[in-house]
Amino acid sequence: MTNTSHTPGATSLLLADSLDMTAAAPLKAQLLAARGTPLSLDAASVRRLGGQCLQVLLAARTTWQADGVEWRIAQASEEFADAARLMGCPDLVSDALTPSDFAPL
Amino acid sequence: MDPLAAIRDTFFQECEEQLAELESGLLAMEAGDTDSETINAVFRAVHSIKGGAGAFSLDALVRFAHVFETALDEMRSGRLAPSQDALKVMLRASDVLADHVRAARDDGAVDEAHTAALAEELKALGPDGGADADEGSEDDWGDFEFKPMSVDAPDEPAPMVGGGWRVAFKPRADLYAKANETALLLRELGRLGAIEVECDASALPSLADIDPEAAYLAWTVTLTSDADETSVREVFEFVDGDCELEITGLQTDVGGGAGPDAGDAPEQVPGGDLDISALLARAQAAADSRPSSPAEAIPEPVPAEPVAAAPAIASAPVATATAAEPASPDGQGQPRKSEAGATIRVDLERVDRLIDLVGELVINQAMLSQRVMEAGFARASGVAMGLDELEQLTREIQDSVMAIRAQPVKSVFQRMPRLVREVGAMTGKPVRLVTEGEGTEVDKTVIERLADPLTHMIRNAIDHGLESPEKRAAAGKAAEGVVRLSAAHRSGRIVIEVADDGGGINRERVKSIAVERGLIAADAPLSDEEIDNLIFMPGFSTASEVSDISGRGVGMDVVKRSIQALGGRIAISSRPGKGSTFTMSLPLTLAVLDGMVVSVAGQTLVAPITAIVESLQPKASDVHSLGGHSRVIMIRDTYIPLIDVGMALNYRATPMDATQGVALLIEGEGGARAALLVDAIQGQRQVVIKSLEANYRQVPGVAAATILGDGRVALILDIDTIVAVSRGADSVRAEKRLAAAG
Repeated sequence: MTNTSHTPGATSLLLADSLDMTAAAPLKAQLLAARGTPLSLDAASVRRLGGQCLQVLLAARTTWQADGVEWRIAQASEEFADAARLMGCPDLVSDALTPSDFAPL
Repeated sequence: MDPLAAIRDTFFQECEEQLAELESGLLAMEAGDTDSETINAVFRAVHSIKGGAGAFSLDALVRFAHVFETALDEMRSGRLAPSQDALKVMLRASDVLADHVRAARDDGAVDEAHTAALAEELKALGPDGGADADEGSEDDWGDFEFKPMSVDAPDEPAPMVGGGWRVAFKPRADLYAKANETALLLRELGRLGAIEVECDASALPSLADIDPEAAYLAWTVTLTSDADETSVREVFEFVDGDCELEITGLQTDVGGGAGPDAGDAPEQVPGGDLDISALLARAQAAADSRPSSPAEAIPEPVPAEPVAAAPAIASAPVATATAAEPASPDGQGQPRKSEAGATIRVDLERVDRLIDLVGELVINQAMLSQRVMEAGFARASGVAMGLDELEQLTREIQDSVMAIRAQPVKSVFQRMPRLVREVGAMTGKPVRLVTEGEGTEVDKTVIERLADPLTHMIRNAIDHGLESPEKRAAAGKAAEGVVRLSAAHRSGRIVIEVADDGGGINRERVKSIAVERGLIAADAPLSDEEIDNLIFMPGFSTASEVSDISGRGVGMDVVKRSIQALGGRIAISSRPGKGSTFTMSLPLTLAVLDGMVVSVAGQTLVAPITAIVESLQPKASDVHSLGGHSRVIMIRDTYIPLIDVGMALNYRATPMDATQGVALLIEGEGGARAALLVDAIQGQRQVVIKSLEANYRQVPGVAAATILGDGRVALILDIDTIVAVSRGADSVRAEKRLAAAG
């Protein structure tokens, strides 16, 4: 897999710590601004993921896939991964690196 | 401050407001206003507290609020009549709720036995309350901290006997708006047993069309657990009404197949069994038919149609519903919040700083005026006129800024009903509190310092003022005592009265106690008013035993001192058998004062204008000496003590010639009049109060200081103290004379 940050024109977004209701609108704006470019999201510092931000992320993924542009969550915190799994969207973080990936063997 | 702590703070601030709403609503209902609006407001207050508390996992608070809310719901739906008895229970419940809120805020403890008892009473109010209370009491209330349902579920695999539940759950936007979260609910469900969660994103519009604060997702949860339906419903009890919820039992043939395709799920969300990848595949397929041109798409909103069509394929009914929702076509991600409320919260510190600065501005403006005058500009010159306008403007700014900090006394008054209930219960005296003029506004700094004296005075009024029900009956009064708390604006001050309809002050007893304590001589001739005022003397307490309620080592002298520290006065009037009234008169603000600038023995002093009735030039024929330095002046056929301010403040040792000065007729506490003799009046102006206590120390006869236009410090007179001290000095001298004579 290519590292999107090396792809010309690619965007990396660092997601806010708390993706609650108030974060949904800014998140949408951030994502829309990146539309059309390969997107790599960093959810490593997310402590909280609410239903509305999940909606925005899912909608973004659909949009990116429809555009035929790469979209991925490159890194995710345990909290983010947990919440995504809990809310029935495990595939959202299936290719993200989570802290447990770095656990000593 | 970390964001969560800030939200928590806001939550507790809002709780205080809700509690106030709750109490005033309940009191209104008690007074006979059982309008459905009032009941709804009361219900909403408890509901909001519960909802917020749930978000912060304040379990004990949530539990109690829930019981309370249930009882209120009964009342709201008309199944429970708003009888006086029921309302009394609810009022006490509101007190307990307040305790819980404060305990949660300060990490304190609550009286659990009391809570449990009241919860029982609330439950007993319900239609089937008795039975419910009997069986549920121990489990629900014996161990308040824990939710019974979450005790053992999470750790061990759920037994397979009972099968499980299929929960179809679709939040509405309100659910999120009330700070509830899907993830938390699902996690709670997870505590009941193993869950499989499927997310239905079929109703999700494209990114450009999504309303970030709407709710599009739905979930289907297959819960494998032997928990009963009630436990499952309990998970969603706080979001009841804010989501579509469908709970159906699974067949007992437990296994993987029990889940999504259980055929009996009524009103199942169409497409609920689609998984995300299938959905994405469809969306992809739909999108492929559309020319994708990312470069163009960036600056402009994408036409809604193509992508929105994708979910439509997946599930027609839901997608239709979505289409009906207003999309935000601007795509700029602006939160579509409703208009901001009419109020904002501002840190008090910022307001205080602003007030300080405006105070400096006023001083600076006064200095500038003075310089301009000194520079010899004519009064009619452009500069002087401009300065006049500036002065006008400065004053307006000052008034407006002060108005920001002004608050209705309601915030203090509303703490009192509870106090009255508690003290009434402790003393066994039925009491009714009547409040008037809660809307009267006064500076916040004054309000904050009102609570303690008021609390004490109301305690006193009930404990000492009101008679026991038997005595009241004997005196032909209603068993229920009345304590009246009122506030009003009167000539630039706020006047607060605490009145009771009790037996009035027992003057003989007061006098004998004062003699016993050595506060007065046994044969001191005292007027009724003077006897009443003895209770304000330090070291005086009428309760022969220190009672739980009033006797906290704090007497009325402390009340008087705290009122005086506020620049206020307190007076008492009492009629035997009819009751007593304490009247406090306080300045509206502690920041500015309208003052009469006078000169005394070469010093510039400021006398608060509110105390001055009139000023006059004494005539030699009107001034009479009483021996020593005491003098009286005759004003309209009445002799009034004439106090030489220069002497009172020790600026000079010998009295000045009264005819060379100006007398200010002032009215002190209790309507007592005196005339202050000063050398000359310089003028009248608004001065900014600078605390002497905070910057130096308390000086008898001086209330505070201010900075004048020429930069010099002028002292502000504490008129009551000056009058009291001169009187005291006079009576001491008089007593000495009497003693010498006798």
